[in-house]
Amino acid sequence: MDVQLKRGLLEVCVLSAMRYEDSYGYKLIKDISPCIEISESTLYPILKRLEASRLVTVSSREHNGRLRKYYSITEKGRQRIDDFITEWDSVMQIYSFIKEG
Amino acid sequence: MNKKDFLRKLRLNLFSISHDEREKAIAYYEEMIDDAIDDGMSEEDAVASMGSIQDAVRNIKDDATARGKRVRKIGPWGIALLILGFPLWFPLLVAFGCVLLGIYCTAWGVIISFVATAIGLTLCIIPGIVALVVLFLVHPMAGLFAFGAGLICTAIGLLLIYPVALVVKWGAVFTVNSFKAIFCGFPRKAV
Repeated sequence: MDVQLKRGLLEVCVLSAMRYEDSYGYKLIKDISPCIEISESTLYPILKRLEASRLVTVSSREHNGRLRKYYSITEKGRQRIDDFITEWDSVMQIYSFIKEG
Repeated sequence: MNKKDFLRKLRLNLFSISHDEREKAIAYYEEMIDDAIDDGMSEEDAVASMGSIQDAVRNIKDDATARGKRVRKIGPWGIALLILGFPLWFPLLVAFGCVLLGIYCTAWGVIISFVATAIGLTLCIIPGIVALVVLFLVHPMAGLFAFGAGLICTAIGLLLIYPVALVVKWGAVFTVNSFKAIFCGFPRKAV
């Protein structure tokens, strides 16, 4: 897949994976991997960017005697998902146009 | 590779980013590895699933620069090395500088000898005329010969004047530019 396209999609995928409950790094990889290829190293800058853009918030919680970073989606993050879906409705129209010739 | 080695290598490779960024990145990978182990993976497999150190470092550094955090070109290790090695590299630098200076002075010596040759030859017409006049009554042929020789030398000298003057000009321009580069150019670059 085109690198730039993938980068944009991954961000929204990560947001989507924490839509209904807070998540953490390892779980995000497991949840997203079946859908799109993502590595721990690629996830790291994505999470940092999401946090910097205030689309997610980070908190540290204790788990099994160590600290784990949990990510929660913000209102702005949910808005980003909605925007993506709206955008892609028009992309799908264009896709049908191209596919059907 | 075990977890300790992976994190240690990661830390080493991240020396050029800020302390905060470095610690955050290491905490991220440590957490990932621990979660993979909790999930049932062996320590070796968990570390292997993190991918290569190179990939990790690249993603961490790219992100740090993209978000405007400064990536230092010379970290604390670089500076320490520079200071410790001072007794070694400084005299070498001075010696090298002296060699360059020596070459430069020699070059000018050669140029000056060419200038002297050109001027000397050009002036040969004077002794030529003197010889003609002095020997005119005593030995006219010798006088004529000396005059001719003097003329030839002068001709050669005059032909040499233009190329030699050009070489002197190049030498002067080179010197001025080097001076500017050494004493004025570098401060501008550091800014």
